[in-house]
Amino acid sequence: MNEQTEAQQLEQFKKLLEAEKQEFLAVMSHELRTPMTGVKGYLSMLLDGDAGELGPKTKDYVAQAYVANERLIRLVDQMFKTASLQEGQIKFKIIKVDLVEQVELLIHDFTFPANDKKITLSFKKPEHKVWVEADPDRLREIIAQLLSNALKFTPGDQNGQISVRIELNHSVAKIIVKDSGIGIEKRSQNRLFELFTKANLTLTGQEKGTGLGLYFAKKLAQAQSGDVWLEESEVNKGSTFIASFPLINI
Amino acid sequence: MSQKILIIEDDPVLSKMYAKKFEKDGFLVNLALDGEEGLENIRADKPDIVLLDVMLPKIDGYEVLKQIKADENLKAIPVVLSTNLGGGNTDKENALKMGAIDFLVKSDHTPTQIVETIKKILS
Repeated sequence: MNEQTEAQQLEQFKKLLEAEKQEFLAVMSHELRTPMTGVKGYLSMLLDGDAGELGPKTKDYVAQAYVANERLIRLVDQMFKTASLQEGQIKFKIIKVDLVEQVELLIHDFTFPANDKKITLSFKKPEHKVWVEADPDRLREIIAQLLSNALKFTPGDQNGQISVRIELNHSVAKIIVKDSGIGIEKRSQNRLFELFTKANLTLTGQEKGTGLGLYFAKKLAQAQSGDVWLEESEVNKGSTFIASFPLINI
Repeated sequence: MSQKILIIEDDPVLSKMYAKKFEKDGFLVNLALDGEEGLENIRADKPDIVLLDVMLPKIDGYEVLKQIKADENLKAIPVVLSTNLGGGNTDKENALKMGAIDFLVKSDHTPTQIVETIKKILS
């Protein structure tokens, strides 16, 4: 009896904590953005030479500070989106979308950064259009998250590969993103989609994630009757992630 | 002739930062720290363009925009809304529907980019 009460209390406490966390995220993300905009602005003005030409070393230091601040802004941005999603503030415009066209747009966007890192990005384009029900902006956001992770966790200069393909079954279209990257350890795999979980803590500098990306992608997909999951992963061999959306059979 | 911009922004650091950048680019800059002061300034000084923050003391940016667009003498002045709140597609659509000419998320743009956006609108 006592045990049950304790379990119930713990559950209540967890719910309370979760609600407080969301409220905190929403308020903080707004309050943080303003000073970060000031930091971004003044650093960019220094780099532009508005306060006089900078020496090479100074310029390098200011550029590093600018990059670090950009990471902060991205983190806060993702925190805000996550909080908005939790509070039901993100509106979806679900329409009939050609998945192939959307994926092609993203492949186009990611080709330059992939080439820059000497990673081959390929898309096995289906012969026919694939119609799904989704909000096209949110759909792209989800797949972009998978591509961006694949790019982040695949080392450059080692014949890195990222391949994208689409598979269909009777009710679902799956976008499969497979990379030849560093992979994810078994013990980290089941916590991958939790808030603030980072599987690869050993990464440094710009490679570090925010711990919000996959969480947000999964929630976004689920809100439009889709899903995101890790299909398989092996350390030093790579990972395969899948996003799915409801297929419209024509 | 220099073009006049009114910047309505309650954060003093950002306000000063944008002012410096616009002045460097040859603009005549007026500053207002809240919506009420902003509206008074628009009526008295008729700027060529307004950079208007959404979250402001006294009267917020959306209300300021509404009043500008409801006034026959002022409604032709282009208004760019800027915010650090949200900034999703819905916010942008709403701002454009209300008559803003553009909608910017401040943390996504450097002051140079904001000046360029404004110059493009005025050209």
